[in-house]
Order: sequence, then C-alpha cells, then structure tokens
Amino acid sequence: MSAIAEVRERLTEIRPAGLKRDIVAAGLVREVGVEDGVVTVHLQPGPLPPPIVEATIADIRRAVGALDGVVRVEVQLARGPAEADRESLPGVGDIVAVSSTKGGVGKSTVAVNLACALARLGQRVGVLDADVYGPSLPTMLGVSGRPQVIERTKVIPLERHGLRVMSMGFFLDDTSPVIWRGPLVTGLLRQFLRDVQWGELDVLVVDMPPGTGDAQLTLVQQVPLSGAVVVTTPQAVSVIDVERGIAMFNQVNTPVLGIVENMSAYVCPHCGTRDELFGSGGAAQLERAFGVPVLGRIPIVPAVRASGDAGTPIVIDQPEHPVSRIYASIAEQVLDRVAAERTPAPRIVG
Amino acid sequence: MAEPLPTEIRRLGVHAVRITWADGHQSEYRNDYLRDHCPCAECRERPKRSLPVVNERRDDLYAVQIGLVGRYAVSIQWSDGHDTGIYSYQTLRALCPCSGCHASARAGSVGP
Repeated sequence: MSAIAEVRERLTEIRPAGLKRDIVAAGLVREVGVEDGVVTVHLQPGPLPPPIVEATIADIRRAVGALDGVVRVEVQLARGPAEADRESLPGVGDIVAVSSTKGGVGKSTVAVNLACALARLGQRVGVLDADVYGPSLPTMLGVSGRPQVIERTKVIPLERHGLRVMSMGFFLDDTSPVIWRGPLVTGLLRQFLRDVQWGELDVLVVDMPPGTGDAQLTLVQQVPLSGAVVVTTPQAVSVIDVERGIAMFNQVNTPVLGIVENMSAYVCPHCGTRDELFGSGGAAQLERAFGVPVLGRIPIVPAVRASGDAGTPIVIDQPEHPVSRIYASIAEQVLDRVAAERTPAPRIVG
Repeated sequence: MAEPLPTEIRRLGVHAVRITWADGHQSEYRNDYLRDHCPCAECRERPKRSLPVVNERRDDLYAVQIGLVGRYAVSIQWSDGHDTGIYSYQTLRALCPCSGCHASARAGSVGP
C-alpha cells in the first residue's frame, strides 16, 4: 500500500461528533500529501463547529502520527466550500442538449450537423454521445478507435471535423448489444461527465438518449444544461411525445431553446415535387402551445442520410447545400437563445 | 418556470440555511425543519409505511455540504449521513417558513 493510501485508511477511522460518517466518507478530506515523512492533510471543515474542528485535528494528528515513518503531521484547513468542485465540467462554456422523446426522428443527425454548424461559426465545439444504448455518433462522424486515457482516469476525446468527440461507442464492439440497467447507465454517464477532459470549449452538444428516463435525469441533474433543442417529426404522435419532453425540461428549469422539425417534407430529386410524408404543422402547433420557437424545418434529402452514413455530415460535406444553410441558421439561433437564457448560478456561501 | 430562483444559499452557522431569492425575498430554514421535509423517496414514503418519523429538534444536525443539482435544485449532505434529498427551488420556496409565505400558503389551500 502506498504511504498516501495508508494515511487515508487511517483517516477513515476518524468521525467527528455529530457526524454519522468518517471524514473521508463525508468528503471532508480534500487532499493528502506525503513527503520525507511529513504528512499534509487538507481538511475541508464545512460547517463543523470550531470545537469539533479542533478535536478532529487532534484526532488526525494522533492517528496519522502513529504510523511508521511519520515525522510530522500538518493539517491545513480549506476555508469555505471549494467552488471548483461544484463546477461539473471545468472549461466548458454552454451545454446544449439535443433531445427527443421518441426514437427515430433523426436526433443524432441533427446533433452532429448542429455541432458542425456551430464549429463553422467559429465556436470551439465538443459532442458527447450520451445515447448509451445505441451510440451512433462514431458512424455519423466517421471516427473510431479508443480514446487515450491519461493519469488513469482522464479520458481524452477524439477529434474529427474540428469537433472533440466522445461516445460510448468508442468502448464497445461494433455488434454487441448494449444492455444496461438504469443504475449502470447513471453511473456510466456520471463517470463520463467527470472523467472526460474536454479542454476549453464554447459549446458542448449532448446527443441525449431518446426518452425521459434515468439517463436524461442524470444529465439534467449532473450538468447545468444551458438549454435543450427538441427534435421532432411533423406527425401528431411525435408531437405528443415532444410535449412530454418539454414538460420534463420545464420541471428541471432547463430552457427549451427551440424545436427542430426533421423530415418535414420530401423533395423529389427528379421532379422537385414537395411531398409532406409525415403531415405538416406539428412544430407550429407546439410553438403555439408552449411558446417554444421552431428553429428550423429540415426536409428529407437523400444527401443528408448518405453523408451521415459516410461519416461526413452534410454541413461539412456540402456547406452550400440548402440543408446546410438551414443548420447554419439553427446554430445562430441556438447561440442567441443560449445567451438570452443565461442566468447566473446561485452562490453557495457560509 | 415562473418560480423565482435563488441568488445565494448561505449556511448560517450550524443551525440554519438562508436562501436569498432573485425577487429579494429571504427564507431561513432551520436544519431540522429542512431535514424533516427531505423530498427523497425514502423520506416521503416513510409516513405511509408507518416507519418512525424523526420529527424532533436536533441541535447537532447541520449541512455538511450543499451542492447544485443542474439548474433547478440543491442537494444537501446532512451530518446524520443522509444525502439523497434533492431540494428543487420550487420545493424550497414552498417550504419557506416565514409568516408571510405561510399565511399565503394557508390561504391558497382553503378548500370547500
């Protein structure tokens, strides 16, 4: 056992009066250092009453001092709550979720193209594929391989098309089905959010798993989402599901930035006839009911699918394509809406 | 959400937590009051399953750590080891024990 682990183990024996757990389990030990027999313990006393803090320090000195080879024990008190610990994704500016409560509406296609369009606007963009059950970002962005892991737990995102990309798909075989229980998904997402080193980003686009279950809740609880883009198709059943999604985001105080209506019509490449395969007006109906703007309507165009399957999103592949222009407009609106909805997080003091 | 958001969450020594809201209102909660109103599933289910309720004054109970949950709630790690409660801002505002809020809550709940 390393000297630090030995000290930590000793610290688990210390339980201040009034606290039901030891100081390590309660998260009061910030850091332990050992150098030439001098042990430094950084203690975060929280609101422990001063007499209890004194007693705790004495306990630490006694317990750690009894270890072999320890010359001196220094206990340093961290004052006030550590703000850095609360910032869940350091260096990441705005976090935008791309969500749909229904599968198969093209959420991932919208997410990657939106990310590319944001990058073309000069933003530093990351994409997190949080669809742990059916990760599709690796295919759509044409990126594969295992991300590098440094210092044991820090995962470095892969880079592609100017985006930093992280997906569960990087850690899975191509064909094995993903069978996860709720708690596993929650744990996995937590780890993803904590361990991925995004570096400096202006926007992180999160491709959410479809639905309103564990994975979605974890995300809204773990990260202060700047807002959500809800993807839908025009037909009524899809629209009903979107209402549920909007209700979920309302409950957790996350602004719905707008709706993207995908597969809104089919334009025949031969004769130019426009055919509204899935009906029309769904998104407009939502706009009226919830006051959420429609950011864009994306027609069914074979080039969109082809570029997605080939691993180069249409926004990159054909930047002047009408669909790419729609995405550029969506990206601009997303940035505007995010800026308008920005509210400062409450300060936690004392 | 029309509910006001907190601008500051302050631990007042070891006995209470004070929230300052964006509309200027201040709410002060005794720790044991907040703990007894823990909204987690276990605590909410307790009365229904007639498990013992811990409705007593406890002067040694304090908030070890307060953390933000997304942008709608805070989680509080209590010194009794309980840490599963997620207190949404909406819940906290509704729990405000000040006489003004209490009176309006009662007035609003008067039924036929």
